[in-house]
Amino acid sequence: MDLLILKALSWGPMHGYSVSYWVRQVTEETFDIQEGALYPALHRLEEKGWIDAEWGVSENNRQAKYYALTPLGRKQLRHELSTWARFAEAVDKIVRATEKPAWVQG
Amino acid sequence: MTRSTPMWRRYATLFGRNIRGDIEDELKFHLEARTRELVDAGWPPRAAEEEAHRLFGDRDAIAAECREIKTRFEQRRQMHAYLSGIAADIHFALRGFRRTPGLAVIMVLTLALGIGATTAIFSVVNAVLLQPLPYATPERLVRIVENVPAAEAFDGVAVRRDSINPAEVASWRASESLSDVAVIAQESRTLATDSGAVQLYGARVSPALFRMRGVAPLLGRGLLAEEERPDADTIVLSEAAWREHLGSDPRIVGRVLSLDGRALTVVGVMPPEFGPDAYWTPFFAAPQPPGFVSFLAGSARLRDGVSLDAASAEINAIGSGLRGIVPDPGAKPRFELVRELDQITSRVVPALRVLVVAVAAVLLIVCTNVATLLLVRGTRRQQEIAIRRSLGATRGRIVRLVLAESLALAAIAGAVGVGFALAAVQVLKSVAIVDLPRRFFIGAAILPRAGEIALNPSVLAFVALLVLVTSALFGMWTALRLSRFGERGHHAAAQISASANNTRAGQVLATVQLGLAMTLLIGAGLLLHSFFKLATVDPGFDPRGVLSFELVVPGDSSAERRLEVAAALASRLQDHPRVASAGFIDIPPLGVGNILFTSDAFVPEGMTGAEFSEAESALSPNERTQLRVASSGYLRALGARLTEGSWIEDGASNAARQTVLVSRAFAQRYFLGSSAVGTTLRSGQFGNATIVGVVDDIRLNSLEGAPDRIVFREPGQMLAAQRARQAQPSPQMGPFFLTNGYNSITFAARTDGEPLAILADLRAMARDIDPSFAIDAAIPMELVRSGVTTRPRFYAVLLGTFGALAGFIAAIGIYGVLAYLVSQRTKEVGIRMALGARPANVLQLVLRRGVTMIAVGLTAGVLGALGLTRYLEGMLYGIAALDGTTYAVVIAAFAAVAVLASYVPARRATRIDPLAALRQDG
Repeated sequence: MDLLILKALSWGPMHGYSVSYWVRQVTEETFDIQEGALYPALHRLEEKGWIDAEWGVSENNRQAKYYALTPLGRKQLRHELSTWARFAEAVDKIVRATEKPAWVQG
Repeated sequence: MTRSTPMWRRYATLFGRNIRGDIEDELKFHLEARTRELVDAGWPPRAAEEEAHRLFGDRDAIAAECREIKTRFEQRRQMHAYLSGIAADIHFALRGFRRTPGLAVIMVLTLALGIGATTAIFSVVNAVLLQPLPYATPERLVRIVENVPAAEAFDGVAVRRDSINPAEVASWRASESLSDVAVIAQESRTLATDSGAVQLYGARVSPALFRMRGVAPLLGRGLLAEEERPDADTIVLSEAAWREHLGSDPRIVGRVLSLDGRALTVVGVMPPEFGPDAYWTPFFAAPQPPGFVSFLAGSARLRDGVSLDAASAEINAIGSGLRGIVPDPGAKPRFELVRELDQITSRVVPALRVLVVAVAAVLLIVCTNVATLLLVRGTRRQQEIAIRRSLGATRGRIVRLVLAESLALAAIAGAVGVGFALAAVQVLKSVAIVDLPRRFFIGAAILPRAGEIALNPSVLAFVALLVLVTSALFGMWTALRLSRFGERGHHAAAQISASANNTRAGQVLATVQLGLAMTLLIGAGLLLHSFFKLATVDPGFDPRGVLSFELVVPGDSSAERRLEVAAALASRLQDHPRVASAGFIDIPPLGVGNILFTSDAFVPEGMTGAEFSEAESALSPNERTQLRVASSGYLRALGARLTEGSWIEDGASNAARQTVLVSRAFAQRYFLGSSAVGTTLRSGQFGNATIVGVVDDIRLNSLEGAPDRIVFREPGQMLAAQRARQAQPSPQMGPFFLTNGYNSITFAARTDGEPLAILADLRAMARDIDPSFAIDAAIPMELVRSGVTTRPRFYAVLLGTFGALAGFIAAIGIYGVLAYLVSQRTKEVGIRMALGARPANVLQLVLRRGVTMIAVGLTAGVLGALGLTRYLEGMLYGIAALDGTTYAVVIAAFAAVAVLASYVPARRATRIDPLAALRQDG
């Protein structure tokens, strides 16, 4: 969840609804999570100092709370991305394995 | 649909942002947006709203979770901001001090002196008055005090007696309110040790005392109740006696000691907290001969659960019964109970009160001084403060800044002050504990419990509190004044008047300092004057080169034997090449707690006994005629002078021909006009005696007051007379003969140089004559003479130090204020000089300001002194509280110092170069 939010915000400041919208779009609605669960996560990230919050005016002239990455947050994003990449690489290797190991029976 | 919180409300709440509203709005935005998205996708509005809510999840739960996170986050943020704000303030303050180190050092030192002095005095008050006595349940220990009316008092003066009659102890013990009653009879006895006879000051006590005080013995046990018998032979030693005279013998319990010839078995050793005596033996109240009343120190313990007032009432009832009177509920009770600590310390409470007030004045002066310095320093920063204000700092923020500064200052000063206090307490203790033989100074210290004075945790807690309070005091005042700079609407003109206000405030403070210092100096001056008078009064003898010592006699020695040995020693001493004359006397000069025998037995020729009695009763107890028994060489050894006649001859131990000396005061009162020499004094008890000489004015009893009226008798003659008449020995003849109830005879030997130089020879002589007699308490007479003034000297020096400190700081205060005034008005002075003012005019201008402050301050100080110095009355000798000379001298001296302090900046003002001043900005 944190990775999703950080990645979303890497495009620029967004309010919570935008983040949710983008995730839905990009993943083509693959994740069926409660939309509301986004908000505690956002606040936790703010407490950790990875994102900053500020009230602003939205496209349709309503007030919305915008979130943006902090330098610390950017660093965290890079870290999480590399972790994910290594994870994905490892899983990929497992999934694409063609040779059966010698030590397995049957 | 609820309205979203307006922007201003979001930020304007008192406790930070409105978290609840924030989250509500945020979630509402999301739901509205999702609903719109669904509507755009074709959903009907009502169904879209429901679907949005369904997709969202449990809104309330989510909102609650967010609120929790947010609140936590916000609290932490505020705490950080606050702490880092304070840290920044203190850091800034310290940097500021480093920029002006001189000023900072002055402030720290001044404050440290104030804090140090206050801490030192507090540790004294703490040890003497506040700390409980080192016993178990000390608040339960009480003394029975009797308010004896004048008619029934021993010498016709009403007295508040805190000793009890042993014969009445049984009545007190029968009371329901007291669980124990103990009698304490101080005494001195001779202990026979391997290295000779040793004089010990101990006490006979009721065994109940051990139970009452609840102090655990170091070895063995205390005395037991069943030992309250006339034939008890047990003894408990003090740790000091065990260490000094018995070599800390580990097998001391069970050992038998010889005290005044009696064999006593040691049953225990007590630690120093139990009491200052060297030993304790059981007291047994022997039935007294009829008409003979003795009063001894006593102590009692309240029964658990009984209040002091209830017990006091019961004691009054019992006591009134004993006296045969009915207690009058309206009048002052005849008997009352007073807590032991209060009774012990009652004597010094007035003096301590004076010390506390004095040091409080010093602290106040120090604080106002530092406040002025801070203010002056602050006004130089008015630009900086104004800028801060314009950048959005609230007034509270500035106050916090200045307070942080004061706190940092006070904390540093506090640490330095504790260092000062440590040193001060050491000095105080060493001065307060007196190194004189017991007969010249009762108790070992000027203050009771002086040995317990120390910088313990409660004192350090006091220092912490003091630092907070003082920094709050001067910090707050300065902060409030400084924070007014840069107030919106405060333009340049207001700026100037603000700084003018500050100089005026500074002047007021300087005046206050001067006033306080003046009062303190007058008080100190009075004490110093009184001490000086006491130190220079002529005692009627010359103590230079005289050795005073005590010949310790075995307790079972007879009167004859004592006289024999003493006379032999005096004779041998006189043969010593370095000794001009030597002798002994029964009551040492300037001793304390002596039992004085009035000589109402010796009636002058030409008066009847009744007339003489009447003449004596008309005098106050201190002025009545006293009796002294002195060997023939004694007065000469002391350096007393004769105005008429001759000394008593050596060896004139003739019963038939009794000769006496009298003092001039006696002769003047009873033989005015004619010579006393050759006249007879009639005595029914001792036979008649002829006056052979008159001794010049002499003060043997005390240095205060008029010279004594004394009749001097020769001991050999007294013994011979008694033998001839075979009369019943009066106390003077029996155990009191030559020793006055103690265990030693006081000697004086006039040497030609350093008195202690003959000590070795002296000891050898005594050993040679009789080894069971020993020499003790050898001290140059000059030390005795100066030792008498120890207590007044202590207070005079202490208060004098405070006064000097206060005066110095106040003088610096006025200097500082005037210097600042001059620096602020440089431009004005320049203009005046350019317009033709002469240096003398400028000098006058500044001086006039200074002198006004001095005049007001000193007048207030003198008025204060007039009102307050009556509290010093108990401590003054020979001068009144309104002594004109002291006032005149002190006022003149301090005024001179203050005027000098104002002269320096005034002088500097005259040197201002008008052109430079005019060019100066601001």
